[in-house]
Amino acid sequence: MVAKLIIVGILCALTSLASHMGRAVFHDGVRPIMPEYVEGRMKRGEMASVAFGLSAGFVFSMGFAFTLASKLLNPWLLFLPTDILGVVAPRKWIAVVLGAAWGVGVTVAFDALNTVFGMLPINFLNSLSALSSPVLAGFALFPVLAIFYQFGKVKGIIALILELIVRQLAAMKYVTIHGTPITPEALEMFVGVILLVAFAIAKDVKANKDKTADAEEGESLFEVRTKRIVKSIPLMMVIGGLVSLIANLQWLSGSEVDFQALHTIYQTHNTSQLGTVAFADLIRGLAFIPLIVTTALASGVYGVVGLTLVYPIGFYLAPVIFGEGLMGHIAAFVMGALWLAIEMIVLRGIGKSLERFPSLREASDSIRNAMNNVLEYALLIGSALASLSMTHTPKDPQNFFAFGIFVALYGINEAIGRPVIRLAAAPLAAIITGVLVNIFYVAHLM
Amino acid sequence: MTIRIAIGGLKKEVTERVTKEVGGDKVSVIVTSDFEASKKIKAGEADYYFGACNSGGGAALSVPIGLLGYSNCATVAKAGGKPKQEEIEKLVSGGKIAFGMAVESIEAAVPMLLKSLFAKHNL
Repeated sequence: MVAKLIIVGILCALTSLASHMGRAVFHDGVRPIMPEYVEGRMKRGEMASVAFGLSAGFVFSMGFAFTLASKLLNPWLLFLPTDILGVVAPRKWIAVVLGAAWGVGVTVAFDALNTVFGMLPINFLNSLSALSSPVLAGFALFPVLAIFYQFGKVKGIIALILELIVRQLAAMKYVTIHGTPITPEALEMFVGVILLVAFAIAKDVKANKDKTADAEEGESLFEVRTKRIVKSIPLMMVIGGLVSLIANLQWLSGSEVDFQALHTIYQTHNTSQLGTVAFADLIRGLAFIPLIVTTALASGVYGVVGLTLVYPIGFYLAPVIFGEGLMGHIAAFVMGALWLAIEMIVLRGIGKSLERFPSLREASDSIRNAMNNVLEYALLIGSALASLSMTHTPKDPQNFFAFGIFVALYGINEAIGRPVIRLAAAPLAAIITGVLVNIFYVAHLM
Repeated sequence: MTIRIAIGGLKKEVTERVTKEVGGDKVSVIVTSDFEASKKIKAGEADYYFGACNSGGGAALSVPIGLLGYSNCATVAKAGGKPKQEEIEKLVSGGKIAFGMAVESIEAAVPMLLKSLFAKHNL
């Protein structure tokens, strides 16, 4: 516990410092505005209020809901606030102190909250594991949806049929890697993404033939502020190493894709799905690359977790290569740090290649779009299942009372204009349902 | 004249549908990526940018801010908030050209945006 507080505290202190110095922020929307502030066209107070306005909703919805549901810290909870704290602080040391205080504070608060929830007569935290059951299976089909969005019905249906065939071939163990079975979802996603990328590149190659490349505008735009990116590498290496380390220590979930699956894996110690989760995180990361790269090159401000690939490096790659335990922890830190440096060095190269393939950029939009939709459905159904299983003993029949409350809460959020964003609304509704069910139980109303 | 609107960001299909439904023949719509859209505006091939993302100011506007400048961009509907006609009116008449909104507010924000744009251009 002490080690956790120290490591998370240091990490948040550094991310807050990175934000204060205009080196890196987590929020993709804050990044392009940072130069206004760093270069003196915007006052600290205004910048802080912009950062707060863009981030607050995510901290309270995704940050809180995902951490409560998974008992794992997450980047929205840790780094969106340190974006803001770094800007608010008038001095470097104040940024460091505020960041550390936030890191230590939320870690203590959520551990305490989990302990309290764990003592309730109806332990709904166990029920919440039902959340994850549909997530990965549903998520694996997102490339199909992305293809429908971007390339229409014909290619979409082809992709759907191909993916399903490949999936079943893996599930029935006809397709293996040297005899080792492949997780059907992983192969399904892989095939889908390959198809999406192939369609995008084919479209661009055709378009590129028709016109000569005009990459000059982009280059001049990127030239101005890339120097700051290079200067940030040492600080960002330490941050990247620490993020990878806390993922390796099983304290962090990196994304909306992995939080429930990681929670279940860490609870059950059944790591067979870990590779699939890491792969899902990798694909999610790829879909964010165009956005992060372009904003970073245009603003000179990087992302505090880089291209987000340090998460799967920490929780999957490091333990797979170097084993669990101390060697794995050290490896996670070193690999995370080195990876972030590599990212930052090749950033310009990625930016330039992206310009020659605009359909790839569009594919990343389609992927994020499809991913969001799929996750909304999966989390909604998973949360509903979780509510249904919030019973006093496992032998009880399904709790339709809890299900009713859940539906009402989710519906209320929709009715009043969705103050909680949809992705987080379902898990949050399930958590509140859990608390309410306990109150009714204690009051002998159930 | 028609107002040329370039659409980028997430849920482009929703933004496109609402823009066409409300705008009718007063608008022409180009659906593309945030990057291409910003370049089109810079090159004078489009007049305005509509984009959506989860927060309303993140993925939707970050590239337009980088390419068109912060002073030309505005978030009209944040995640968890509702768009307001008066505020949008002010942003439009103040000369903003790139507008970001939360994906969950597209259907509310786009009609307001178009109303203000039509008023500005006397359409």
